[in-house]
Amino acid sequence: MVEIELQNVVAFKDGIKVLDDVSLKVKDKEYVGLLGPTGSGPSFTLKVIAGILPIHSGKLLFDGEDVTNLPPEDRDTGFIFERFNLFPHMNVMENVMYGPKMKTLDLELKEKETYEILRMVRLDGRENAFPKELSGGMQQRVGIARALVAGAKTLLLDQPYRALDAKIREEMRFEISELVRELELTALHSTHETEEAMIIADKIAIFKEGQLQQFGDSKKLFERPSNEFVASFLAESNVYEGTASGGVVDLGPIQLNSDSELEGQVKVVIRQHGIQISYDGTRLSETNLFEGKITKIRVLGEFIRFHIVLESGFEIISRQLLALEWRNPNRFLGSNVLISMQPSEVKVFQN
Amino acid sequence: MPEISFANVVKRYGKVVAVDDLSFTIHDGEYLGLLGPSGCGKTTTLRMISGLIKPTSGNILWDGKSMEKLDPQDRDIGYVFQHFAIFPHLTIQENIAFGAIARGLAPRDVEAVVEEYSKVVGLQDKLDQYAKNLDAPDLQRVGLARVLAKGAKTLLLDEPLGALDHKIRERFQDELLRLVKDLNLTAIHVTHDQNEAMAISDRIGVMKKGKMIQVGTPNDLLFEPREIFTSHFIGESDFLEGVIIKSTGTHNEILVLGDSILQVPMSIPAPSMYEEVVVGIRREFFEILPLKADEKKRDLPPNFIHGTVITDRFVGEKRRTFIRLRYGRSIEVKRRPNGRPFKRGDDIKIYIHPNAVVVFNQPHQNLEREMEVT
Repeated sequence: MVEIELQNVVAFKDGIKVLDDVSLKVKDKEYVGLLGPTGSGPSFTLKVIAGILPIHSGKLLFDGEDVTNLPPEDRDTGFIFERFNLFPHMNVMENVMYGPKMKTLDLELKEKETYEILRMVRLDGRENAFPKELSGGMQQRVGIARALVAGAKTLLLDQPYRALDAKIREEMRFEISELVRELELTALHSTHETEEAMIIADKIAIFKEGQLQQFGDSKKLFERPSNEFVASFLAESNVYEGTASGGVVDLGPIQLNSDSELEGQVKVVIRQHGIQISYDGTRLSETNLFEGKITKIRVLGEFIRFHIVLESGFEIISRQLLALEWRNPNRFLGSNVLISMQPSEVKVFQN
Repeated sequence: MPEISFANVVKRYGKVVAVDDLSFTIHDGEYLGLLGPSGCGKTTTLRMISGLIKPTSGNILWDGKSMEKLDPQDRDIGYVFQHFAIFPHLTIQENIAFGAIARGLAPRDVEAVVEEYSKVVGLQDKLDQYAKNLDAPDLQRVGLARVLAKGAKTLLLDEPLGALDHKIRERFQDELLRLVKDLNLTAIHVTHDQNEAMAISDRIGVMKKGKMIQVGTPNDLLFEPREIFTSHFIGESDFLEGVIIKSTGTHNEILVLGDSILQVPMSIPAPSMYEEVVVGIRREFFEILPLKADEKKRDLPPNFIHGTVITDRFVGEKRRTFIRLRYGRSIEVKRRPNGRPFKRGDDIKIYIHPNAVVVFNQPHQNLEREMEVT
């Protein structure tokens, strides 16, 4: 049972303010993704919770109890690093029992518990294997088992996939989050990849320059970002400046309908994937419909990116999920197309 | 302006074969990605191009001439590393000048070269800053400017964006590609990240365990993968084992999952009757349709398969939907984010377009081994 709360936390590293008035409440058994550019706050938040980075001002509460000044070893948090930090010369059992041995706990009892935990993380039978004999996913489970045996009730995962090859990362993504849910732990997981955060987490906290920008259910956050930074960080975006009046945004060459009630000078974010393209003249919608020409095409893998220039000279980028119709996409280069976007895709923010 | 050709190049370290019989060509002015899992031989390949290490056997030809006869300095190569290798206590100006001085330029020319290439990488306003105070993207820009100042016409890039954030990486890819094309350079770029290789390369060489599996454009690799490994490594696909049960002049029928039939266009080379095959289908190409009440117990027409939704997750720019098929198999479908949401337990049917199916020969080893990336 661990609920974690940061109240107005400020922290410094090497004289630089790295957390700036961060308030965040993580409920028991919640899996929260901390998202942002490197150095923007996610990793520092984990370190403050673990007690590795001191809190300059503000409070840290575990289940309502002030633990701001509690030493790290008494906090029952398990820190999982980017490179797992297993001892290469120790086998799985020795790695996992390292914590209790250092604390000289009742080792016989702990050994029984260790077997139980290894079974829970599906490593039973691998007690004698050395880290180099295990896959990346297994090594991470050893790390989790070690944290659990040491008494962790909260897992703090600091970019746990960063050191892995992209393909392995993709295959492993679900593994840890499912395990953490099965074990009913509270978890905080830092990353700078939106999709990773969206896949693993129930809720996402997004940071910029040490400040928490927005915190909430991942789908809501994606669909209703609170500012331009959040909107464009979560998905590849077109960003413009314009003037809003009565639900219409004037971007100079074009006017767009939006759901926003803002008036005056605004920033406008249109996610690339939200712009539909029709190359056969089908009118996909009657609102926000424009004629244009495809000037550049790039196959990105699961997406294809189209640069489109409208008749007015206005430039916009659209990303389409790979589909059979986009085979040999270069044949569409120079084609006239219709583009359109839902008013809800035109995200408007105070400038 | 060289064309670089590999002819049966092998590199052994003792008993370990790091690179196994490579033959391929890098064209003048091309941006070539070398893609593969850790340990596949891509960095060894890059280092052989640089001349830092020599092949055990075979030849690397520069415009048809054996590379052995060329002095490393005459190859006009610039090596760019993931961790920059920039002098931290020198300014940007001094770091870039280092490249120009290494080329033996007179002081006045050095100044002109520093000015030119600092502009190319967008650092002209930061020349007096010390390298130790720069962030990762700027450090990499210094690295690029320095090798350009050295006179490099061929860039060898070893995970050059590996230290950058995901977001910044995407922007830097565009910057790098534009620079290579504007300056009419040739670039060979090693990465383990397929999205990066796709975004930046004219063609990509896919490597596995020292061998070149396929060299092709991003479109070729996505739509016409020649081996299961390519299909698995590039993007995401699901694979089903099947057997050819009917062959007309234009179509094959493949039996999968016990009782489902896939009609697919005849592939070249055409598999023979009753041959066991593996079909690969990209996760973006599956279509999920609701199942009508009377279809539950009935066989479906060709290219339709029964399934049950396990999870349907909105992950931002798309949805990921896990489907359990019959006989304990499951697949994952990537869909548009505004696609119809499904609930756990929903009975559905999957439609697989004939052109979505890529047919492979049954591998000699089992399918899992074939796809292994570790």
